[in-house]
Amino acid sequence: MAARDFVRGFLIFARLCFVLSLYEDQIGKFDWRQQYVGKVENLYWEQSPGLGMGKKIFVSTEKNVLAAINTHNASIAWRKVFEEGARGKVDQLLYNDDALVTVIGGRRIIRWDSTSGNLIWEFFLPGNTDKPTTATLTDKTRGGQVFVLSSEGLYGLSMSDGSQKWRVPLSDIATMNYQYVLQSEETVYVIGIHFGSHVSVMATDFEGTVISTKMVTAAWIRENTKCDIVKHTNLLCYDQETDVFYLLKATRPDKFIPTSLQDQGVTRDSPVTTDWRSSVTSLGTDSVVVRLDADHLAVLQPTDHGLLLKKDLPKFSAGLIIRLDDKDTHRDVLLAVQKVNPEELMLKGFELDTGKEIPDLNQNINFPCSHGLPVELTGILARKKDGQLVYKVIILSQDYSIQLIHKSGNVAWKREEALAYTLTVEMVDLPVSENQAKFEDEFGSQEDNILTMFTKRLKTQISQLKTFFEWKIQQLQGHRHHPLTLKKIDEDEEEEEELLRDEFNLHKMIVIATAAGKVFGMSSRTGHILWQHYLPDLSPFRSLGKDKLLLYIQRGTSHFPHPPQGVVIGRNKISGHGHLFAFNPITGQLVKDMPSGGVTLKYIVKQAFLLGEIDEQFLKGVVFLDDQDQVHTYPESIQEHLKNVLSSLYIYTCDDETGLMKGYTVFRRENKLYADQVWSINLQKKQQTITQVIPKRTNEHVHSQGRVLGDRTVLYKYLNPNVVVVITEGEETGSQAQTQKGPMNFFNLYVIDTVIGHVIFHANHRRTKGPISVVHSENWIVYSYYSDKQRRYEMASLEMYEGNEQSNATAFSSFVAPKQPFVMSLAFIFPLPISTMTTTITEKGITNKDVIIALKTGALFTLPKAFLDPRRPPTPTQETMEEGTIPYSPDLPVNTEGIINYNQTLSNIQGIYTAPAGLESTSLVLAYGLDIFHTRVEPSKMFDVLKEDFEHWIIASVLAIMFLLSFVTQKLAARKALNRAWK
Amino acid sequence: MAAPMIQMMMLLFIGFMYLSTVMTYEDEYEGLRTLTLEHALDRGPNPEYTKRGSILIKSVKKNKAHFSSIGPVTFEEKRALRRLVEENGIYRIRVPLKGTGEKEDYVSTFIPACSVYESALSDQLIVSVDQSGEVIGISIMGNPSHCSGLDVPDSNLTNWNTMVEISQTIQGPVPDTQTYIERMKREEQAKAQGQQGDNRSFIAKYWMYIVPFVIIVFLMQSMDQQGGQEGAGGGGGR
Repeated sequence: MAARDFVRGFLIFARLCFVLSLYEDQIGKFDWRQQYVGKVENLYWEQSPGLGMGKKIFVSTEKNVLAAINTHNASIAWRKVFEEGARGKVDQLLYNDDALVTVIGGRRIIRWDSTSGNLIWEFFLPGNTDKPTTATLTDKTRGGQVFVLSSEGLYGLSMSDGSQKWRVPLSDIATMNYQYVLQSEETVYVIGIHFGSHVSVMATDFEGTVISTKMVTAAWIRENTKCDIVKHTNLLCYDQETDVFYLLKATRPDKFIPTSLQDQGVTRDSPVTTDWRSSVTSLGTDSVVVRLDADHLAVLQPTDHGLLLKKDLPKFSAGLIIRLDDKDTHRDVLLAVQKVNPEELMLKGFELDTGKEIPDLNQNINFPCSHGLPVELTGILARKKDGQLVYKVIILSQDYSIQLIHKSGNVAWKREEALAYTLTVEMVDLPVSENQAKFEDEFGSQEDNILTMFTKRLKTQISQLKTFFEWKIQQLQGHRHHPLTLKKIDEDEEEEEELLRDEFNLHKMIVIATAAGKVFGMSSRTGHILWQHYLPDLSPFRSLGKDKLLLYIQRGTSHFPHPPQGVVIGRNKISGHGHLFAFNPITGQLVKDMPSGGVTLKYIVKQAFLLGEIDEQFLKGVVFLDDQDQVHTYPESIQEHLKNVLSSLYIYTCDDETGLMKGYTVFRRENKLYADQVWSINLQKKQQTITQVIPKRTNEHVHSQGRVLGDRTVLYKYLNPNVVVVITEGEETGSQAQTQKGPMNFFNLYVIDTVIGHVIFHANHRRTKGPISVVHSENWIVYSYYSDKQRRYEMASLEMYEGNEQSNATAFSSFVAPKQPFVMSLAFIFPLPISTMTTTITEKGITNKDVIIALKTGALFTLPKAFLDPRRPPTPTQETMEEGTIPYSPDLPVNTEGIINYNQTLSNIQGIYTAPAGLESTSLVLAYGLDIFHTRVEPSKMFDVLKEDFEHWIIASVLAIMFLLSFVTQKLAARKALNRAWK
Repeated sequence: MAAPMIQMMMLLFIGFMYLSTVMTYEDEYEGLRTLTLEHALDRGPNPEYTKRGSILIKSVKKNKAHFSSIGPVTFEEKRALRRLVEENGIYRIRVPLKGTGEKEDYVSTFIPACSVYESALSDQLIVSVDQSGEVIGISIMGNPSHCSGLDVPDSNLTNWNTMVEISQTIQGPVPDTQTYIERMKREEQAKAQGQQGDNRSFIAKYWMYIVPFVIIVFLMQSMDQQGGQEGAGGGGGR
């Protein structure tokens, strides 16, 4: 008996282990991956003598990435992704004589092989690393050394093997901040700053012997004073209060030489505000480009008497100085870009010594306004044999994009690095074709009589015939033309794409809102960017310790002739008020009366959400709650419509600073809407902090209201749409905690009805810690956490049921619902670290659900929900067999067939978005983070479509043969019957 | 006439409760706890709250708590409630907590006023308490909870008939390796036993197959012999 049960259990288990994997020839057929590096902080052009310059660029970015990018096609030659947070931050990238050295996390000095990206050596700095570490490299001709300055000492490392040659301890490490290490021909200088008092300059030779130490008074120097090294041995500082530049020569550290730009005749409105680090470029040359404003540059030359203004460049937003080596002489060439009109940049070249323009270099560059202003310019310049100057220039822009410009002024390529900062994603159905729309129109209306319907039918068929012939003619002519196409971005590469819904609605428009303030429209089939907007004033909300942008689709594509509408809501960078941008998600066009940068709202947004109801124009309104408890809407006109649903409108807020959750109803007074607080929950701020609030997906359909048990009774699901899951994390205090070693972390999970403020369920997990990822769908919650006690990752699953009777089948009301549903829970061990999770979503919710888990290893793993069923029995019985539950085993299986991104590793996955396709079996998946990956999953296999390798011909021929045979045998039988009758 | 009686009963009851809690104080670490319950019978916004009674929590663990009202419902309160029901308003309650800061913190909730009215003031309160005994929230539920437009006579609106339930944070689930291992062990044992029971000799185990085989072979042989003889005889006869 038991053996038979076991076999049955095994069979069920085997049935559940779907083969989700792809065949080899299906790779890339419905999935694509895009790799990014993030916002570039340091950039160097490859300089390998002999092979030609500039085959690659080396970049280090804000996203803790070091990468080499091929300059001929923008592809990533190699990429290193370091740990998240401060530990993996690339503090400095140094490149000299083909030696690539990075300072990572303040204490790791690593040399990389520039061609392959392999690690050559690593040096680990002892001591604490709270203070910054900097380094500088010497040429091979001068011994090939790396000088590393930490907060405690100066180290001389060998370039070839990374061994420590010498160490010089620093004095006064408590008060001095050693931040700069400089070098001249034979000397290393270390500059330390004592804020508000003085600066010390210590000089040592290359062997680590101290030559001299000098003090220079600098009472004006503050912690926020911006300084940088210019022209190898000079320290240039800018004092914001007095608007004065100070220059210190490390070779002769007597005093800071002050220079005021006003004295030099530069006029400007505001003092230097933009970030300094990226504003001082071109270290190799005598002069330096200093940014004074977003579009104002100045070229300064350090001299013995202070700074000399070489050139004032108003209206220019980025520039660089390149040293051009002609046979014997060398001269400095200044390249600078200026925005001449919203769609164009003007690049100008100047001879720096004379200040004359070089007309050869002047060029207009196509530069759409979706990039903002250029921020930085780097490039290489060379003289061809015929004496002509050629250059390759890379422009870094405000929107984090990187683009390469050739001499011809063409944009060779672009990388949209803003996509590495994706915060919110929505997928929008594409519109149906004109014919299909007519079809819908034909059968959609009810009041037509037979005659009009008949004429409509005829008209549609004629137009169908017309388009068919048009299409045939176009095919014969050899080129295709589509009425609904967009301005292409890359003329050469990108094929024209038809923005029409396909048969199974698998091709969608992906709308992406990024923290960089950029909104993209992307084709889900190819991953090509179809439209983009840059909103300079938009920044994400900061809520519960995370950046957040809201992206809502107010109207879909199914309400012809009304265009679809989407809206992005964030915070204004400067004022902190709400910032809103409404657009057509298919074409990317702005909504009428919408300025190109979006609108700033007149209030601080505390809460915003999309209304479930639609108005006469099929538009869903967005409701805002401001910090004065006033309620606003977008568009304003929706307020009239809102009157009807006011009594069923509830708003909740969640404040992680006070630990309070509050609920509001909305009332009307003097034509304005106000929120009235009706409930509150106190989540005990002094013990714990709210870290996550997870509502359910609004577009989710639940097909089955209950589940059938082994004894044929039905267990009804608790399907309360108003439920949110709240996660709080904290540290245990008190006598119990003190007996244990170290802090006792815990987290609590609350299931809260947001209409009446009722805590439906609350559970506590002791000795566990985050990051916690939660999936909340239908009547179940799955969450993962790290167990401190067992030192392993665990997953828990909750399911809520009403019981054997359903309280209200037609409409759910929080007021009459059962207050305490029946909650089942079970926990499992998950063998791998998890970064985030989500669940699949399908059109009607009939298909089984899979939990999609993004692993820290870079894999996307799908796990059937059945494995996370809290009803998995500890010992299988006849009844549980009947129900079809898998016997409980504490560990969850991770089989490689479930990894949907096969070998395409994804770095730092921040979120996964799923969307239903037109096919019930299929769910579309987009994982985003540093990389973007799109694919489809079929949690219950493809039950509604024939397989690709389905043998149509065999089936058809078999059918034909059967038909023939039956025909022939019928004939024969008839003849036989006739013959028999004659006998 | 009945009101003073009930009040006295209540006092006695409280007294009794108090005594019993003093007695059980030792094994209840959270101890006796009294929460003030306030309600608002005007429409709001920012309604005025008045005291409705107090909730006495005897034991969080054993889910023992009860409500004691400050007295019978006054005429004004009844009128206010009726007006609230007519206006389709909401009935709000709140519990002040000893807040950490200067301001007093509240946990509060609400219910459609008709629900309180039609259930003739019988309701159920759920006080949610976290693992360290702090009150995090309160909910109220009319009994029955749905409204059907009934008219309730004043005499039925005199006393609160309130049940209090405590819902304490439970321990979350943990992976249950123990029972799984036990199950595996049991299965292994069963298997081992099954194997042990079968240590009979080969013939003892499979005699039922061997015997018919032997018989068949035996029979075949005898048939062969017979056939051979017949064949031989036939040959001879020819």
